[in-house]
Amino acid sequence: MKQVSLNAKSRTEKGRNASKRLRGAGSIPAVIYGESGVRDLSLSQKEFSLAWRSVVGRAALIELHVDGADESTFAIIQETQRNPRTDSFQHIDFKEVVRGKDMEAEIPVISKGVCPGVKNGGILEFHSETLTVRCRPRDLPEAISVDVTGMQIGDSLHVRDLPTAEGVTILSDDDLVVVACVGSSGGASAAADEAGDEDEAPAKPAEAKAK
Amino acid sequence: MPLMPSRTKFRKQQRGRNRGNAKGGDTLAFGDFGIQCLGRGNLTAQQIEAARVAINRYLSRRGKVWIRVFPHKPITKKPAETRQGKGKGGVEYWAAVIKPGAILFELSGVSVTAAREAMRLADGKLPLPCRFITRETI
Repeated sequence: MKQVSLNAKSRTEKGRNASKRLRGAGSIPAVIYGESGVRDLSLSQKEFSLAWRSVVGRAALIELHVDGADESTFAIIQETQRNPRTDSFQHIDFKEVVRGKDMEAEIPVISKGVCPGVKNGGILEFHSETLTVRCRPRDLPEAISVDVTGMQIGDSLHVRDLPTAEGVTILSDDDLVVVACVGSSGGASAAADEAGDEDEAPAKPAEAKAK
Repeated sequence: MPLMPSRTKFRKQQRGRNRGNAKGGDTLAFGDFGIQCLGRGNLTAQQIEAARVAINRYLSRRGKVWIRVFPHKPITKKPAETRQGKGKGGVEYWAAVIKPGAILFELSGVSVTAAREAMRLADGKLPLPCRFITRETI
């Protein structure tokens, strides 16, 4: 279980303009919700970005110290909103986690080992990037690793094939395909397309086709 | 053959405005690598096709490519040396309306070096500024 500590402040000002001011001052508006209700928070942009770099692609518990209090609140990052152009964080959603109680979280799937199908020209395709699990906070896995060492082209691994750690239940459907080894798409058809492009003059869309 | 809708409800469209950032299609959905558009404008079907061919030619049957944009918008043009009036011109080409943040192409099954080079070649065929992104950087 990965754990990261963050400082946060309570915020009373809400709305678009207040959030814009907050972002201008180097903070990120955030919210935490869960058993103890909903609280609006603000985080330091710099501190969160550093923490994000250490947890990106992994599930992690976030230890939030609100207003410098010694007592901390545990949470998981439920959602992040980012500016699509600058990638800067716009808003963070934290979901509160209660110690000793079951929680649900989205855990990323990662591959382990070298797939022989890939060596033969195939591609490892992840159909599910994350899986929903239920567990106690102390059992929260960083990631679900899938052993792909035995996969040839045409093979696929389902949720039912995954090994589960003790105390962790995968809630996703058993028949869900997690990872598949498929043949490369850039095959003969793509090569033919390419040859066709070179020979033919650039096709103009016929108005008749557009109805 | 460049991309174009198989059938449309109306033959011609008004120009409209292209404002704001991409609301959807701004994260990697299928592949491990991609190019994200940082500018705003239209991509013609020919430009999308040229970028696709550049990627496929460089990768030569390796990897898998996803095209995340589609030219839905018919662009009309009046013939040369025509007087004004007499109605809207005919459909000249099809274009995809692109907002900043849109992912244009995705790629998987190749090394990051090959993906970066393929995307650089594709970027060269496009009229808008783009950047290379990977799953780790997002």
